[in-house]
Amino acid sequence: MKPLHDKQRRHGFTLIEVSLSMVILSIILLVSVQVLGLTQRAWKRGVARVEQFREARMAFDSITENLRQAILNTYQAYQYNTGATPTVPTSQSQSPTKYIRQSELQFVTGQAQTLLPGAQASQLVTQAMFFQARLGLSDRVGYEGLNRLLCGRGYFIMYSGNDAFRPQHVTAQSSRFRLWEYRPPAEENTVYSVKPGQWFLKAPSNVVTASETLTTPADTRPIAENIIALIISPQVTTDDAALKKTTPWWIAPKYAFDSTQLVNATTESPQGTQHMLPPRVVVTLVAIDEASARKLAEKYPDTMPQLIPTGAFTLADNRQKDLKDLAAKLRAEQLNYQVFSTTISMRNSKWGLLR
Amino acid sequence: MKTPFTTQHPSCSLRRKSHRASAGFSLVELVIVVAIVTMLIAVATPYTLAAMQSANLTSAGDTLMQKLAMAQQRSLTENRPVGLDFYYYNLDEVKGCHAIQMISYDPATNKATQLEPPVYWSKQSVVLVEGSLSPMFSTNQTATTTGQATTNPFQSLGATFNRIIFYPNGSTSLRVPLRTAYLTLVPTKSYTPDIAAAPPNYYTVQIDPVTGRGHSYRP
Repeated sequence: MKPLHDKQRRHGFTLIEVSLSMVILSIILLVSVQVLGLTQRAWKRGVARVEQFREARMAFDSITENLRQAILNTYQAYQYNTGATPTVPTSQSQSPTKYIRQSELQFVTGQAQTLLPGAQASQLVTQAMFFQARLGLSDRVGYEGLNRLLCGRGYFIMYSGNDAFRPQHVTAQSSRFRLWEYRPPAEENTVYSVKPGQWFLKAPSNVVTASETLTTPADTRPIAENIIALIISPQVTTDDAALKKTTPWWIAPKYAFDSTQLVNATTESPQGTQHMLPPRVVVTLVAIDEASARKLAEKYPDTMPQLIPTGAFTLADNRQKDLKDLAAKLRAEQLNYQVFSTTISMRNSKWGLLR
Repeated sequence: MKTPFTTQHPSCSLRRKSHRASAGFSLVELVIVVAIVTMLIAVATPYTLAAMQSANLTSAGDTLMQKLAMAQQRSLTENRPVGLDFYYYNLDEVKGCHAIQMISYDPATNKATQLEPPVYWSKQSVVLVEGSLSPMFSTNQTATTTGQATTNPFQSLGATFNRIIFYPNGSTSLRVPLRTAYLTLVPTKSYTPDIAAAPPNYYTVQIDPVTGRGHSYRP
């Protein structure tokens, strides 16, 4: 018996020690792999969020900035008749009947498919908006300094591919919901020469094509990708609504507002809201990120995904509820989304003064 | 050869030997450990390098997007044309744009004033290539939007510049259709002279000549 020798020889680990340490090691590995995986997913999601929603945010900023400048240039004029041109007398001797509010410009919001009933109507979702503002846009060289020229402007969402404008080496075709900006230059502002509601009819067909040339750039340009809803609700101030004992969106209960239409007339205001800019406009934009959009494209390879619940965003009363439903639907589809919303005070609205 | 120490004190030597065996590692054990560590590093290095390169490309591309947005924003808030100068020169056999700089442009005097220190792509081991991957500057450039660099350090490098000017109304000086208005950043490692096919990883930035809006494309 050599106890000393035995002790000296026992410098290895026993099976129990080794297996115990293996178990501990594997637990640590398992946990760290899971933590790493979670971190990576959160990181990817975060990067996509910042990256993707930067574009949406910039587009949202440009919408709000331009919409704020919308004008109607409303003036008071003699009314001679009740036709399409009430301020034009039929003869020199005709005497006017009264003063009316008049404007040649137009501010119009409503369902995109109603406003733009062209060939692309089925690709349009939610709402559209068209207005006039002093945006100083011109294609003519040397006109850059004329920064107060009157221009038409509009926004709508259309689902389409990017064959016409994606870089040649980018092979993957991507059909996406895009926010389009209709921005004809001042020299193409046809608001005076056509009937109201017609100057923007070509907006969805005048998108960027593969044959776009330098001299005739397309008037409708994509400004943000993966925008799935644009909701525009013209409203009055809450004080005004309280005075009238109604909701702030009584001027456009179905989101539709057209400044050329004689609507909401009462005995004390016979012209209603005609030729008036709404004092407030609530603009809401719902964006998803590119990873989500890719997932959607895989799920619906050939058709436009129906993300907006049927009947949603048709009544201003249900706006909050519709937004909640849409959010629930996006969560159910496991899409990463962000909602941008703001209330814009229209700078040139003379709501109180005109009534 | 035996040392005098071991021959003189065999017991001492024996004790020391046994002590060493129980407390330390043998050479074989160490060699195995080093070999395993080396193998792990050898396996992990390419992935790590690729990840680092990809991160560099992403950060460079994001910087370009940010500078474009910033130039446009500045032009809007300061109500004057603001531009970005892209400097093209040779750097270690790599031909392309290696630096950008934000400038303000005065159309009356045709003068550009530097607003910010330049951003160098070489710091992130990327280059903005010329040719079919970046056709934006290849057509319809005018005397105001391209030429020899007149400021240092780019003048001494013999650089030429290409310029985008953003006007306060949102338009740009670019005179190309949207489908060719893009620039591509690639890692310096994937650079080849007259590169025409897209490398496995790239960052393409498309700039709408009409709205000035930037959009990025990644593989």
